[in-house]
Amino acid sequence: MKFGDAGSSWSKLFTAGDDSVKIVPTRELVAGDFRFDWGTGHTARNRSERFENDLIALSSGALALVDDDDFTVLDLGSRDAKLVAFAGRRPVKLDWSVGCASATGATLEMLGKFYDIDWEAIEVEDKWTPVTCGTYAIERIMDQVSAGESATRAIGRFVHGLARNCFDFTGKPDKLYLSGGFTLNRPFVEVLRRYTEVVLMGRTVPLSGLWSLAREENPEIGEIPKALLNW
Amino acid sequence: MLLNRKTLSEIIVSNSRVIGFWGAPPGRDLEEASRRFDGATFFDLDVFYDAKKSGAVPDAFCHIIRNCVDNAIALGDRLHCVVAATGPEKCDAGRFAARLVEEITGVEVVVTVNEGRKDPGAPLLCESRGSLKKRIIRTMEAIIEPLTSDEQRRAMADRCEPTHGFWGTPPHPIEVLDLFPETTHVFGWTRCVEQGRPADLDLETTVPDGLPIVFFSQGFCAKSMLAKQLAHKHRGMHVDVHDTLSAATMAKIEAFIRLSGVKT
Repeated sequence: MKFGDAGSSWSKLFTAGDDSVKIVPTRELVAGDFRFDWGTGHTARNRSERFENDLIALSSGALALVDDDDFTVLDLGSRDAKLVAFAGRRPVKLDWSVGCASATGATLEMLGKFYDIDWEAIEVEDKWTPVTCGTYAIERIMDQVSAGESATRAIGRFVHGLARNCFDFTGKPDKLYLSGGFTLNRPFVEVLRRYTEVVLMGRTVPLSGLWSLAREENPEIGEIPKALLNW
Repeated sequence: MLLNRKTLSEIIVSNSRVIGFWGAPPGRDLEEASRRFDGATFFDLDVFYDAKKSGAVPDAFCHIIRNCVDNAIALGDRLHCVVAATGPEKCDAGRFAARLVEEITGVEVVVTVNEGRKDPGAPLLCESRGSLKKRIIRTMEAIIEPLTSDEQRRAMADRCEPTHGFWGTPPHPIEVLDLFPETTHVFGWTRCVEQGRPADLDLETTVPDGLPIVFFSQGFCAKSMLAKQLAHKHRGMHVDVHDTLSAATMAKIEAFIRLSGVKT
């Protein structure tokens, strides 16, 4: 049984029985003939026998992996931010900032490549760049760099602004479960922890959600495999 | 009284004239208009018919009010008159739109206020099982063509326990309603209309505890403040939609319904 979470930039693929998740650029997925039994993410829609929307996959995964009654999960990846807040394990807030893509992972990846950034060298400062719109923020970074600021510091402020936005977007919870590619971005996680307790869940929560949904229909597939519990 | 179910374009190219209306005007005003114009049919101006944008209403404005104004302007002399709801059962924008349409088209606009019936009627369609979209459309049609005895009997026989709730006005786009299961009960203004009390704020804000409810508000509608607060109070989900139903909004509603439904 094949599971796929096909995001805008990266696709996470898992086949039952495998001991790891395969992560490939989505452009390879688009060029190839990948098919899934269960899929999520807009690129998977026409490649899946069973398709679940991103919020359902994320929510199902979060409910399967987190025991708390009340909790908030933010999935921050390449293009967009998805949020689910539960109270009594019922969703009370669902949000998906699919419209404005500028301030998320793809932008940071591009900035990193453009300025040849070593992410481990990014230092998080108290100052931040307001990220009301990612395009303006990029302009601000370019202005700062051309004025003599180091790209590392300018991008650090951008990351700080992004973390503040995420904290506001999630409703400023005391504890935040973070899913998606940004769990791997050390400066982002570090600065987000200035605002709230952060639990890192890795990039496979939606895949865990798909597994849980598949198990509801066929309990014989068993518990969520260890390969998906990489957090 | 009869409802005209033709499209806007069909009416424009025909030789017939209609009585336009919006909101839920009092029955006596609708009947009076029907008498004055020899039983002419009624045309619901709230509905989206893809009328040419008149530009009379700003883009950042309630889409339902824009429908009312653009439809009326597009119909022009195909209208005998417009029976406009302008009281608390509609909104301030209903009152302003009445003035605007009269000025732009020169068509007579009958300004009405619906105080509502003394005792609320039964919420038949709001609590019966079946397509939510069809039930809400029929509820609005019933302003002109009340339910027949057969329909009332069927609705009572089909009454169901709710798994979900929809609160709000008929939405634009109406396809929002296709996302809900057949066991969805209707609350808010739409229910007030079925119960004959469209201005009853207490009835409008009454919802059962524990039922997962989507509180819908049309973008730029003042009811959004009710929707937001009620969603917070009853742990439901507030959804605000303007012109189009985005993939994100659709996913939110689908996820809420899927993850919070009462299993029957």
